[in-house]
Amino acid sequence: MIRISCTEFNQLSYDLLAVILVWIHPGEVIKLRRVCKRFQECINSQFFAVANLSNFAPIKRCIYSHRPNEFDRFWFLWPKNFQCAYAKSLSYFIEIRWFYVFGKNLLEIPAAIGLFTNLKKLELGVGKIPINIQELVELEYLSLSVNELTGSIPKEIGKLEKLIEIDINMNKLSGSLPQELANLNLISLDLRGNMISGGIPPELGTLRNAETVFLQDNLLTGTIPPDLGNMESLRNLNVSRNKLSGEIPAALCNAVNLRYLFLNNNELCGKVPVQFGMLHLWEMRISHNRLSGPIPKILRRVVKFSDRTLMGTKKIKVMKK
Amino acid sequence: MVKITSSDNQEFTIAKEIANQSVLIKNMLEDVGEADDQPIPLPNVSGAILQKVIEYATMHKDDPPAAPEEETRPKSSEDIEERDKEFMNVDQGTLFEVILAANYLDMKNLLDLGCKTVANMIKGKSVEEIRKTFNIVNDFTPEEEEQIRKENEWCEDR
Repeated sequence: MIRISCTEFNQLSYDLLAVILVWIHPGEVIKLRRVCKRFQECINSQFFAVANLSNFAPIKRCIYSHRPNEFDRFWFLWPKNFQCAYAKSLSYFIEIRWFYVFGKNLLEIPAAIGLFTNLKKLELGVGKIPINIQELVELEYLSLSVNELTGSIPKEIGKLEKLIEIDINMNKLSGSLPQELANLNLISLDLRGNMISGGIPPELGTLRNAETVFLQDNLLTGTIPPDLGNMESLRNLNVSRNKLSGEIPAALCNAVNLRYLFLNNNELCGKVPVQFGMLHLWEMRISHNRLSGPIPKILRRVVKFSDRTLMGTKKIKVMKK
Repeated sequence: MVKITSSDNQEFTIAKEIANQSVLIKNMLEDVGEADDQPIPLPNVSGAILQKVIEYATMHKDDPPAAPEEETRPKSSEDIEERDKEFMNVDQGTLFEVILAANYLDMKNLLDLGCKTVANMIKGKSVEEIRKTFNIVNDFTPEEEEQIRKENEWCEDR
């Protein structure tokens, strides 16, 4: 072939460079940012990300995503412009349940999570809670359990008005419980097995619809707020294995639907309020505390084991049918 | 028939259905009307490249109209007809000139073909190979490049 001209690659305009690079797979094109500044600038642009993804990513997907595809996995690794473009293109997702995205790598949940604006249910197998979580205004169900999440629970979570279930058990969350949780209409709050410290905010007592509150296996201190007795739907309260002190508030008995009450392995003192006898408890655990005095008679009537004292560290269960 | 002249004053006489594949020429013809016999000047395209472009347009003059965008996704740069591959088997300089001409003449299919061809030359190559292939100067400082390398860690070895 005779060389009939000497035009070079470098003479192609920025726009032409973009329409060439959009043909390269989004998993590969990112590495080309290192070729030169022009490449980098082009690939980092929002326009490019949109065009590139529209060439490669599957267009029509179910609104429920229960298994991450190749692109979903890239989403955690891509630069921001790709993360935003991708999340926007899938903003119709209602449910994301992506476990095992990359084994157990410590990947952050991209801030672009906030662009999945129709999401009602989010379950992820990786990450760190981003502040942008507040943008998921439609979110009803948040599950990030059994991960390596660190940092504290952002107080912005209190802005997710539709959230009814928070399940972030078995992570490495620290910091304290934000009182903003009380702004929600939660049915279930499961934060067991973290490293959350500080006190239980009395405001949680306003969670009238909450049926389950699991705070066991944390580093909570302070007293059990009597306000928790206002939780009229509460069936299951577990604050065991923390560092809670003070007396067991008698006002807890106002939560008439309480069936399981686990207070064991704390530093609680004083007597067990006699009012607990009025509740229809199915199981109550109060061992391994500093409680004193006898078990109230009314509770004792249903106690089915030999140990009748609450002193010391013996395991005590109160069983009723 | 339509007359067009290149930047180096070569004149080509082509059939209208061939000329119309260029949206630029099509619009010009509509503007000036049928009667005008003046050749259309194309000052951005050399005669050699115009020859090449006409060859492409002639080859594709009987193509059915393109399917609507939506149905053709996802697209791939591997989707190239054999005759087009043959057509694009040219030196880099010509290839880039054809891309520039296709862009100027507003010929989407030819532009796509050129871009896909270049993309295929980039695919699978290392960053260093790409710089060498296309004579691109690395204008990053070593620190900047190291920073990008770090950000790219997850995809560099793919």
